[in-house]
Amino acid sequence: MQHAFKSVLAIVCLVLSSHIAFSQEVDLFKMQDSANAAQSATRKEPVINTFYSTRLVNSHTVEITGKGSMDFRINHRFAPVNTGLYNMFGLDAASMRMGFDFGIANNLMVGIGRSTFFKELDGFVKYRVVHQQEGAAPVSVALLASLAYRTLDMDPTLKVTGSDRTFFTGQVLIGSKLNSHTSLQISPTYTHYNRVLFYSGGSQDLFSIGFLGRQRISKRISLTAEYFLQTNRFNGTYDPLSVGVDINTGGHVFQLHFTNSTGMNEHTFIHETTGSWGNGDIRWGFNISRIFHIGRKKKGDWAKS
Amino acid sequence: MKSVVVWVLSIVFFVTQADAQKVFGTRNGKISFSAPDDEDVKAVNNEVTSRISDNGQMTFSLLMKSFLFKMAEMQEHFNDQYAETSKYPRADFKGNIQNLSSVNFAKDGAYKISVKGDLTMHGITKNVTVNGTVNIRGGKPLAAAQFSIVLKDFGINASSVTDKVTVDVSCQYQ
Repeated sequence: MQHAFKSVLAIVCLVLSSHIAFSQEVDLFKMQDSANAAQSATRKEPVINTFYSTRLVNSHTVEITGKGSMDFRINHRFAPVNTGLYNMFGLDAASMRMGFDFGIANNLMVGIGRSTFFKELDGFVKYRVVHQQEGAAPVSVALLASLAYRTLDMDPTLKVTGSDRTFFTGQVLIGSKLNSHTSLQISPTYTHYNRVLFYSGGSQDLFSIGFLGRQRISKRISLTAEYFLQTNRFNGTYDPLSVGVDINTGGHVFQLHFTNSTGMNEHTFIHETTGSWGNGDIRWGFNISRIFHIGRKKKGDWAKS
Repeated sequence: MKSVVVWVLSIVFFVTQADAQKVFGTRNGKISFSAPDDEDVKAVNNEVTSRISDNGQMTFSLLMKSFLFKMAEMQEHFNDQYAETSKYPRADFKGNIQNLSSVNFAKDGAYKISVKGDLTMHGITKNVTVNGTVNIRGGKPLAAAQFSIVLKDFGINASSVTDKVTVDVSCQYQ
């Protein structure tokens, strides 16, 4: 019965549609409109540019350097502005970190750096586990593991070993681009000191949580803020707070900011910030990021005409 | 049940249509663009949907996000700052061949064509005329064209990179 119904229906359709087809030509313009509408309804893309760069001020963001790209980063922090006119409000002295980051896979990057602050070398691996996507994932999640090694000459009577000079930080970076202008990130952080030197209080195992925000105010300019809340801290240190401006010019990102931190790798900026905003013990600083393409061209994904 | 109807409809539709009108299409046409003064700035999109009909209509549609650059960062800037592809995901062209009488879709050969129509990009529609060729081989057309676009015409400010781009179109239809 049902089979018979189907056949009848098919014949009816056949007759009807042949009439339509003969009497009216296909309009490609309408065809395109309906195809586009159907495609728009299904197409989903990962969210890009949650932040302009892989760092906000000092802290890592959920962004990953593109595969095959090298990011040369120079971070610079002048001396505290409260040192007055004699020091040109801090411009006479500076702390810096120079680093190279490499995007080695779509969601994986590594980097190395050298800071003048305690003459430290550092290296890190960052992997994006979840990439924010409309309808699929409300946040991006990245994991960061970083090691720092303090090369500063220290009093031999302290008997400082290689392990004493090594610091480990692990972070879970959870970021979300709420809309085209506003992005937020929360970063639970764990830092381990094999041996605590020069500081009292605190502990060898330190926990903190980072709050990062960026507000885009024009196509190329964003305001940024970054704050880490420490659950336990060394005596005489403060929670790091930085506010700044990101200027994106295409190949470069300039980040200008005021911060109370001097160090620029994870354990120094989070746990060894001795400046206080209350005392005006803040520094003007900037980061410059210049991206170079170093990966080889792949056939196919980049065809020549 | 529903699928039977759809099948029958579409088969009949296409069979009868073949008699009345010839339509050729592709889903992987190629459109690339480059900056005339900066050889690093170039991108290719291999997922262009395009159709051409022997009634003279031509359509092109592509997702701006599908333009692939050599550098991931450049691609991100293109998407985020210049083309604003999450706001304006698609570029679209609908045009008519002006000299349709000089093209014989039934006969192999190379034909020069001039296509006039509306190009929509970055939310702005402009009427443009593009000169190109249709090369028919084995009954299947290949359309090719090269033309320039002034980005400002489409409200795209990329003056720190380039003011105009050269666009290359190459679509092999089935």
